[in-house]
Amino acid sequence: MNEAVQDRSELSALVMQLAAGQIGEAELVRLEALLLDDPSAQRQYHELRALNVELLWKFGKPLPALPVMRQAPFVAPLPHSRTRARARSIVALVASLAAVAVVAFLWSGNGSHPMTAVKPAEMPLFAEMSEVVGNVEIIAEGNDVKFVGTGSKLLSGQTVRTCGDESSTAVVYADGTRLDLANGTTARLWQTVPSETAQKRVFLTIGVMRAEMPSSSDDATMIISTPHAEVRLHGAKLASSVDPTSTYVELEEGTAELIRHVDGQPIRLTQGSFVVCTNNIEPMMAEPLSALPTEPRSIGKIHGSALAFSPDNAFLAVASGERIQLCHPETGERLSALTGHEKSVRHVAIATSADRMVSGGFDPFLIVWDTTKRQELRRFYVGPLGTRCLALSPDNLVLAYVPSHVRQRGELTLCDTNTGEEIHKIEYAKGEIESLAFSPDGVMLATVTGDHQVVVWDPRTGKVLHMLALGKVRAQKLAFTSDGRYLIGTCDDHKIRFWDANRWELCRTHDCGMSGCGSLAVASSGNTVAWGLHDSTVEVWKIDADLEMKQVAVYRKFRKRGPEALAFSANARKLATTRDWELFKIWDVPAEPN
Amino acid sequence: MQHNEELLQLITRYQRPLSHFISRQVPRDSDAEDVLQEVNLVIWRRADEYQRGTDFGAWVFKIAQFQIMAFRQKLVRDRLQFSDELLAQLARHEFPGVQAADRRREALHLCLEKLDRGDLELVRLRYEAGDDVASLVSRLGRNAKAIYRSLARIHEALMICIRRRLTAEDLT
Repeated sequence: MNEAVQDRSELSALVMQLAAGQIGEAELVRLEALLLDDPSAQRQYHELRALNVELLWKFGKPLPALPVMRQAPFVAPLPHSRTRARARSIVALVASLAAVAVVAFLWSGNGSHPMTAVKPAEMPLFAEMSEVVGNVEIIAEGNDVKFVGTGSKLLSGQTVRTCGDESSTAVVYADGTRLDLANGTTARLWQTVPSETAQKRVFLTIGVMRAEMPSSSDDATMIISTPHAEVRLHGAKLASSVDPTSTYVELEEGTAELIRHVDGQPIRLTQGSFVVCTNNIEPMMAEPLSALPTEPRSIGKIHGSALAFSPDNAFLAVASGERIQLCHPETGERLSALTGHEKSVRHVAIATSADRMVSGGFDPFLIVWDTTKRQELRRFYVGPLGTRCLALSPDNLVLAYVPSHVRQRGELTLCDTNTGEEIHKIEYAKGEIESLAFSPDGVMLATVTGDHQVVVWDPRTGKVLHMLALGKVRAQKLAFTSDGRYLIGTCDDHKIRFWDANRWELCRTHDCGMSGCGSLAVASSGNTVAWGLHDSTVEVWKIDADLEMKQVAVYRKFRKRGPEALAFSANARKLATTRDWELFKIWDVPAEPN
Repeated sequence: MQHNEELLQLITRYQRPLSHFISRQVPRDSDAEDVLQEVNLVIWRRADEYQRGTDFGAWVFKIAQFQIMAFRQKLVRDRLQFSDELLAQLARHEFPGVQAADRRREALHLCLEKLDRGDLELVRLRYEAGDDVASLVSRLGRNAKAIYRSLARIHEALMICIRRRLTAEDLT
């Protein structure tokens, strides 16, 4: 071997040692001597580095699956073998981005979980797509994307993405392990071979996923990596939801350990507990998934921003993205979808006759639907930014809505639901109107206004009936009790206020604790009321004529905050809950307090 | 939002070219990946500054260059690295660009098929293991130097194969 060839081989070896961080000082000096003033060696160096990058991408680096963007972007995922030290190095930057929620997705996995070497063409089939709904795609090596259906095979290393609001799928492994991916979810799936005792890896970039490992596969493990944490589980049932700012994990069965990326803090999850993990260094605790009842009756396969039961119990309408999914009121299974909005739906209201439904949100139009034929009846132009809130009168004749584009003042339009003709346009100069509630007899319309008041209108004349000043406090959501005796409002001082709807006096306040409260729903009968607390709890209460309150149930299986929307079924025996990035749930409500 | 999505697609498309660009100046893989991640974060943080229709590549490579410089300054204190003189010499070699990298990648795929199964397995294990050479050593039962020598031989074979393929393509 001549000297030049020997030098070239030595150069290659040293460059690779350096690339892997396995080089000493003397070797570095030698490498520098080989490279300095030698353009040929330097070209070789660049070629080696380029080759190294390509090989890293081919064998060591997960595909940069395009995450589905909702609120904030993700950066492309990092390759595996990265450590938490790197997370610490970027945490300061991440913190500065705050709400932007741009966080590095730490792909977990290192040499402690070696993959059996297999030629690409021989990469084993390891799972099958099942119950594919809507647009579901597999992203293969080279970013080749193909839409798939039930029965499609998955290769290890491929990315599954459920696209759009109506999509979902299940992935079933050979050992019976099952993953359910909700709409808007991106997950890269990996499995070592052989498959019988394989270790499964899921890189959950964004979305909602449930994992169920069969009890017979106790020996097998699964690792779920998210932008915020790594979760290791054994023979478990788990639900995880990842949004740009946090990872929520709840464990129904088995055991799991979560390790936060930012600081490497581990936390052990036991059966019936949940934890929320962010990229902030803040106390992180597993909390019990207590509740009465402990489990929801059913969990839907989509997440939404608003929902409503049809009064005849024919369906549950869930606003999810630009669609309204009509779901089975007991099982949550999707029955059909109403399409027509071009932007996200945030509000739905169903007529007491059950044959009409109104929806609005970011779309400039409100749409009235025929729920029997499941088609659009008519649409009204509201304004370029859509609808801030809406309500249907109990007789279904009047639709009240507030356009979003009107700022610094209030504008409330009352129109004929059937024709769309305007009945009144109410102007309120002192602030924006933010929440609407018709009284059960339809003769009053209560609103929250931006000047810290609750203003009650006569919807027939458009005149003010009552004004309730709240001082520095601001009301959030309003609802009348089913007997019409009280108006209830959740307020930003962590209190729920009850006003007598005859004398218009404040007659009770209920402290909802340190966390505060937001969403509110009142059943159409039985004076049953539910509110969502920001500590991931929903409380259900019965209120009697004297305003005595008895707690009926507490539900705790939510993320860091309670759901954005609540809805009772007509008989008040079911409560539906939802919020963005959380699968909607249907709960049984006990008839009487326990 | 739409702007964000477009930006995300552009960033994803440029991950590989950025990896190449950074790795030319940051010789250790894990450092190069750190810099890439920092670049991604800066791109997002300054997303508003990017104007649609302008040269995205030029913009991100400029960001990358600044991040590389910042990274080097950080390293001065605590890690072995090339001298400034050598770095300056290496920087004189022109970055071949995105299209050239694509051609090299295609050639590499074909060349990998020509490797012996054992060699291919060694390459795969090396890159799957990442920094964890210890696991590679214990798994293969060979010392690190021997592994690097074998890898050097394989890399050289791949480089020669790639060069030949590219030359043949140019001739046709």
